[in-house]
Amino acid sequence: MSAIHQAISNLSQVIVGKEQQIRLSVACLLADGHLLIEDLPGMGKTTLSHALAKVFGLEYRRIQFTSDLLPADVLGVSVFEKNLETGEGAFRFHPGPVFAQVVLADEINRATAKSQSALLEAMEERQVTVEGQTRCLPDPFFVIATQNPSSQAGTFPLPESQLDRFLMCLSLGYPDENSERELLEGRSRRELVDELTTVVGSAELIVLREQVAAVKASASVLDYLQRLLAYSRHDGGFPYGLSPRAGLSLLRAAKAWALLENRDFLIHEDVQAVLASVVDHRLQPLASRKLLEYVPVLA
Amino acid sequence: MMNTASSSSAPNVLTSVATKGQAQVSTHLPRQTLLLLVGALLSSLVLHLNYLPVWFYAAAVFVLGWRALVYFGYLSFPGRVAKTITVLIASYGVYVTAGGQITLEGSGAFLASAGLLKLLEIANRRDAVFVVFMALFLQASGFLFDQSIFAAAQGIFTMLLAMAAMISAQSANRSGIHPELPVFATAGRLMLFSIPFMLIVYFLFPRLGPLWSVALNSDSSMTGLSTRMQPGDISSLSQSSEVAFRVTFDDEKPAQRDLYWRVMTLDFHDGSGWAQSKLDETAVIMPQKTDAHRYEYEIIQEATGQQFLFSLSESVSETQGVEFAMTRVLYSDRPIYERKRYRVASIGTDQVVSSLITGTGITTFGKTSSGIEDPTVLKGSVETDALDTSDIGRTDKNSSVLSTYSKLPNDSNAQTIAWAKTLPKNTAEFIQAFTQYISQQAFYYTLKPPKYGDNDIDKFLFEGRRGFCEHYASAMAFAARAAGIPSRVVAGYQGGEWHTEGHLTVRQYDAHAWVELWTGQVWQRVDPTAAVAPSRIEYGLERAVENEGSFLSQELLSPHRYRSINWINNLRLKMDNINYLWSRWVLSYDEKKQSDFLSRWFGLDDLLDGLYILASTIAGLFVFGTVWQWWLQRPAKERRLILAWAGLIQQAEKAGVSVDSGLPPLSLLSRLAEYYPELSDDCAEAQRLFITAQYGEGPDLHADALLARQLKGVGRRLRGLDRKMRRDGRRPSTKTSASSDV
Amino acid sequence: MKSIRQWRIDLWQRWLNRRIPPVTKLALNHKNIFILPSRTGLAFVALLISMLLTAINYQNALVYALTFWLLSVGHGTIWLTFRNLSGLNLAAGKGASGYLGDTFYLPVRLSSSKGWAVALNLGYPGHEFADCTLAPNTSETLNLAFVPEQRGYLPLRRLKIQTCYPFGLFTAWSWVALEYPVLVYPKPDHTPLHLAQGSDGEAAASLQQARGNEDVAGIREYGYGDSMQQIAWKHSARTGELKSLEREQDDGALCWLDWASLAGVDTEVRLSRLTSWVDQAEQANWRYGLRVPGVEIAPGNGDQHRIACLEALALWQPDSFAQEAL
Repeated sequence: MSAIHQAISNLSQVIVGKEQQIRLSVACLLADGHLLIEDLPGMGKTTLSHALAKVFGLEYRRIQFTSDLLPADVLGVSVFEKNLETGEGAFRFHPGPVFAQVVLADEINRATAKSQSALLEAMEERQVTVEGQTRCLPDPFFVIATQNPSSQAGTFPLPESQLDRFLMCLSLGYPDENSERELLEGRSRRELVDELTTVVGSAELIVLREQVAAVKASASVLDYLQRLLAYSRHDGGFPYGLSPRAGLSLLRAAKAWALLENRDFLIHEDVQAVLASVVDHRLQPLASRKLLEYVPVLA
Repeated sequence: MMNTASSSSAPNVLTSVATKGQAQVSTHLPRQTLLLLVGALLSSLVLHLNYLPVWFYAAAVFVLGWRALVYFGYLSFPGRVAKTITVLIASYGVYVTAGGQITLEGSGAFLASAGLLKLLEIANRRDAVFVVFMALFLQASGFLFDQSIFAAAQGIFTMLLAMAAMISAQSANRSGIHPELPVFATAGRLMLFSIPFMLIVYFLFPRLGPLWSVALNSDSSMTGLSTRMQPGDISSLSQSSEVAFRVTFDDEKPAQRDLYWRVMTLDFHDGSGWAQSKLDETAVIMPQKTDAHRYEYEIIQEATGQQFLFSLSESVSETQGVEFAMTRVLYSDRPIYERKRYRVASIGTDQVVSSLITGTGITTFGKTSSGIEDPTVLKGSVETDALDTSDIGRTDKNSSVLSTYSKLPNDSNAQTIAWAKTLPKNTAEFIQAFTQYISQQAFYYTLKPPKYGDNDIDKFLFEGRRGFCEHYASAMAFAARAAGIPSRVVAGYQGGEWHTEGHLTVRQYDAHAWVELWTGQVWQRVDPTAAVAPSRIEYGLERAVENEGSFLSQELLSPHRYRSINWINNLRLKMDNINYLWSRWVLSYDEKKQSDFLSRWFGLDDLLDGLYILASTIAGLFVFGTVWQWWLQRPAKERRLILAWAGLIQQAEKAGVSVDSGLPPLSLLSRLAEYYPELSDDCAEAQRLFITAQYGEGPDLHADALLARQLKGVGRRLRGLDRKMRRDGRRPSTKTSASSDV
Repeated sequence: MKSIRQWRIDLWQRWLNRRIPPVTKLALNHKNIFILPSRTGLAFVALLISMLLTAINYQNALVYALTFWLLSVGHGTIWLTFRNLSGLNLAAGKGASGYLGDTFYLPVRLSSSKGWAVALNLGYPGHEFADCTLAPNTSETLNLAFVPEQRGYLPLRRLKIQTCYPFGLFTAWSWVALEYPVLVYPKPDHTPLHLAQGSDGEAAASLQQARGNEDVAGIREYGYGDSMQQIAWKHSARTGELKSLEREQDDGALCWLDWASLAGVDTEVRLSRLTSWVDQAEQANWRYGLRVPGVEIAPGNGDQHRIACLEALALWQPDSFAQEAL
């Protein structure tokens, strides 16, 4: 078993009964995309992100988004510091939590649009400009944002353009009976997370990402992908179609999935496996089901 | 256009406004269409140019000029008044041109002007269609004036333009014509692909006789012998290299010097020229063909607008519509306005008998009287067996017939008459004496004789001594009469050009005139020209006037002028041969030829069979079209795989394996293997092939084909298994497997 | 009793529905293309007959040939005309909802496969037709005008797609029923807002209030999700606790658009007025609620809300509420 599968199995010991979601989130990490988890509180969102960071040996920071969160709280500020010994003073940059390898943006829709976009821009550009100075973010940079679908009052829902920046949107859902039992009988999740060891280092992660990019896609699979995009654009059922970026994301996610399946080439199943998590938040709930139903695989 | 009417039902004012606007816009024809329309119309006028009057050209320039100015935006379309006036003027012009009669030229001019004037008001699609139809009809009527290969090629060109104009007019919409639309290619391809069907209909469509008599073209446009011979007539013909007729001999071919093609006899001298004998068109019963008719041949002659036909001496013909005249020339029962084909058998000697004479192998008919020509064999009188010749005029008595061939005007050419009286009265001796005179005196054969004016024979014989065949023939016939020997001038053609393929082409410059003298028993052919210019008879006109340079002096560009240049001559002969084949095989396809052709090549003896074939061809074409359509829309090679895939899905569904739409191939194969473990090897192989086909080196059609075959094989085996299970009464549990939800 | 004409139309529609069922996308093929000679075609036949007579009477081989060639070409155009439509794909695009009386522009996406599709003419009978020419393997979206006659879901009507290409001798056509999930709202009847005297008393009076009220009504505890402008910064700084300002109706006036207030007016007119009121209230940026028999939409504001109200008005059926309402 390769390291990556070891990592997945380790993760599933912590997050019980959610193998599919774990694999998808790992695929998202491998595909160099960001992850949005839409779920009720207490479903293990934080645990999942923390465990991911741990298994992949990544530095982990968490930002709780509130309505009074300011961009500086995310990105960091320069503070005038005086050296007591020399008496010289200078501005020193205190990097915000965004300068971590894995950032958990909890309840992202609580914050104002300004703070949201500060994070989202950082996600896209992979760099931060504060006070005229551009600072690069660490290389494996993985944002996991969570959002609470219920109790929408007083929230700032992410606009579609922002949602497009998340490669995948997952929802963990309630565990099934057996997993619930296991959960109840087992030890505290926090302890388990603390016990997790790094299986894949950040250097290995970079190698894995290169492998993802090298996964081959045949004309037939690309045709299928294009048909999916075209259908979303031309069919009357969707308010607007998938963007080219969404198409690229879908391909990248599918490639990551193929790598998880130990393949260096894409098959149609890979596209279908990641379709729902890549497409639904961009179009509308259950959009992927319609696409799966109406778009012919071979045509 | 159809939506303008319905706009009233739309409650919205905006809609109806928009609809009206659209009707206006969509009727506007694009420039490409206009150019094509004008091109098609002009091209269709080419064959009419010969006879159209001068005013037509003026009108054409005017109309086209106006149209061009409209096209470039300097002028607007003419108003109603202007249009009415132009139409009236044009109608008057046509009326005057036709001389108040319905002639072919008149109708042609009318159509041509109508088409031309229509150009001034082309605005919408319907006008365009009208102009195209007009052009096509003008082209068709143009063929009535010219049926040469050139005309055919020109017709194809017109048709191409017309088809392109039609396509262009129809494919225009509000935004004009799509710039990449292959208008010409479509028209060309359509024409090309419809050739087979055209040929089938062409060959099988029953050839009927004319349904009613039709307006005929006057003979102005045709060259050929005229029914009156005046000095200069043949000289003008000798400047024309147009084909008069072509001959194909079956077996034996006469020598060049014996090729005297009799056309008409001229027996009346009015003091200035010779006029055709009325007996030339007095029908008698055609003699039977005998062994003596050694030359059998087929003639294809060009339109002459006259009734005369071409034949060697003593000819009979079994072709329908060919009549036999009292002067033993052949003529047609109606004027010849189209190329005509007929078969002739001839004896071809230099003597022409009269029906009075027996024992020459020529059967005579009816009661004999003492006349030279036998009035009793008049065709109309045979049935009643009654002698009714009152309407024949001067032929009712021998004496009048003889006197016809002896009559001379009293007041002309006195010198010749006086001189002739000194010549012998015996025909043979007279011939000798006359030819001796012209060969011993300084007579010249020339195409440029001086103008002789009054008493032309006197001046020719005793002063000028320059002339060509008609001068010599005229003089000799005249002198013979003066000497008391009945004579007549025969007009026709002499010689012709042999082609290596075996046929003979006789052209207008082969026109010739000679003399027939009555010996007491037969008409003896005498050619005084031979005495002065034997090369004319042996080698043709060109050699005879070699030194003079007057051969086709007015047709500078004619290839006939340059026959001495070898390659031009070869080229000319080739062209001529093509023309010959064209007229022989294409133009003269008539009822007879049709039945010959069909029975020879297709064993069709009955035309009804032909019609069945025609009908089944049309049906067959529909079938062919369907198949062709299917072939055109058949899947490309890459698509075959997809079809095989679709086939497998069908099989799987039939066999009870639930297939969600959107189930990818590899998953389907796995599922099949799960349902039918017997198939797992095949399925695994198919999966392997699928991946190879997709990720092999480059686009690998071979792998695709392998995969398609494997998929088909899986499908077949699946069907077999399914059938077997049904027979055994057990079926795999049709579990509805979970869809590939994620 | 139906007239014979109506009966024939029904029969025809039923036959069409069986032959070309309503869909959101359709490929034209031999099953759904009709083809017949056009008037130009008949004129062409007349031309051919006159040319044939010329050929027979003058015994002219070339006229025969030209006639038969034209016949053959004309025969060939049957296929070309058919092929011009065959293989064409039509798909319903995204139509926008609108008001009764408006012209709806329904997008149809045409895509050609292998060949050209030249001079297509398509539209709904009784409306403006659109033209288009498609090169091989291209597609185009046409907006076809359609004026619906009643509110509710857009009725399923067949559009006619026809072509005469290449020569106009034959017309090939098809009747295509494309489904559009589009609503027809009632036609707005512009009357000034007339407000119900609601039982809860918040109707007419509240409307009189001016918009853009910045009056601070009080200070309350910070609530999850309060916007930054709402926070009483000074107060919070003083107390060290987050407080929010309570403003009075800063979303504008609140009103109820009530069916009952239009008593004595014809049903459709009532719906039309309500439609107009919804738009007026939305434009004025009021918070408004809608009450029609059987439907009550809580006060709200914004595009979603407006659409929900209009949808309710478009789909409202009098059946069960007729008695109650009148």
